[in-house]
Amino acid sequence: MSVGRLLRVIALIAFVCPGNLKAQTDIPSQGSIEQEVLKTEAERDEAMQKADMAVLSRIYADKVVIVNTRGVHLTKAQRLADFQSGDLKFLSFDQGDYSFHIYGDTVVLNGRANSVVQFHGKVNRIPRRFTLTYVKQNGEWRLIAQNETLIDQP
Amino acid sequence: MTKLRVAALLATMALGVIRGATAQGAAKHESDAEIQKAILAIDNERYEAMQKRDMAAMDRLHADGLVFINTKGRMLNKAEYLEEIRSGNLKFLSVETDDYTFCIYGDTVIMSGRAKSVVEYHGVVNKRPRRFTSVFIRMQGQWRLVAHQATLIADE
Repeated sequence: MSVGRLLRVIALIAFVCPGNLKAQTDIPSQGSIEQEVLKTEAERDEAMQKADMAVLSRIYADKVVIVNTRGVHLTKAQRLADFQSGDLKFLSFDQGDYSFHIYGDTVVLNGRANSVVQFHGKVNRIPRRFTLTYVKQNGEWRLIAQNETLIDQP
Repeated sequence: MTKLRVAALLATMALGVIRGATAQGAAKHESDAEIQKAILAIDNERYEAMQKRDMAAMDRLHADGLVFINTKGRMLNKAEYLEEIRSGNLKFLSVETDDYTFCIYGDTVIMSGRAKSVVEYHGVVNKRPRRFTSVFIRMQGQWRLVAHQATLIADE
């Protein structure tokens, strides 16, 4: 095989299998990933307050694993039903103290929530720590796990 | 001769591209059951290391960026968490976990479950059951725990 022909074959392979080459050149910065995830979080927060089921359904992955502050494991359908029925309401929204850990297309976001929440008629003002895990699927950040724990008051 | 060398170099480069693509494909063929088995093995190793205070194993099984949130809502980094184990401030008097749920996203696995382990933390024994979420990520072929959070179960 001539060198010219071999070069054409390599160009064809690179065209058919661009993943390897693209992955090395298209790496977003940590800052831009954090901004993307925070933007998704802001959308989720707004959707929770408005009980916007379309947005919530888009952000929560179908197999999302949720553990609430009572140690109850909830599925996506159960969490969305809580919002839709009004059983879960945010009376005020306040979260921050974020830390990010980025592992490729997976982001672990930790933070503290001081939001006032009403759950099945009972108001909860106790601050909580949370772990949110996001993965990027088809260009969209989706929440795959959420765990919340009340912060022990001294 | 020079042409032959160039041809050999280009052929090697082409093989590299093909190998890279097939390696990605091969990783996808690992079944969910195999991944779950691997994660359970790592988690058992982790509990064994905690009980024996095997700090070398603890260091290997936890990612450097580990975030650990305990049932009191306290957030610990890897150094702080490993120090709790090393110092004996955190001891597992018994280990019992069950009711697992696994969600697999390539090299990221969410494992959720229930723990009834008896734990001594700073001298206080805690027997209350809790729900936990563990996030494992495969790094250079090794599964490592990158995040863990536990929440006491209110009604048990």
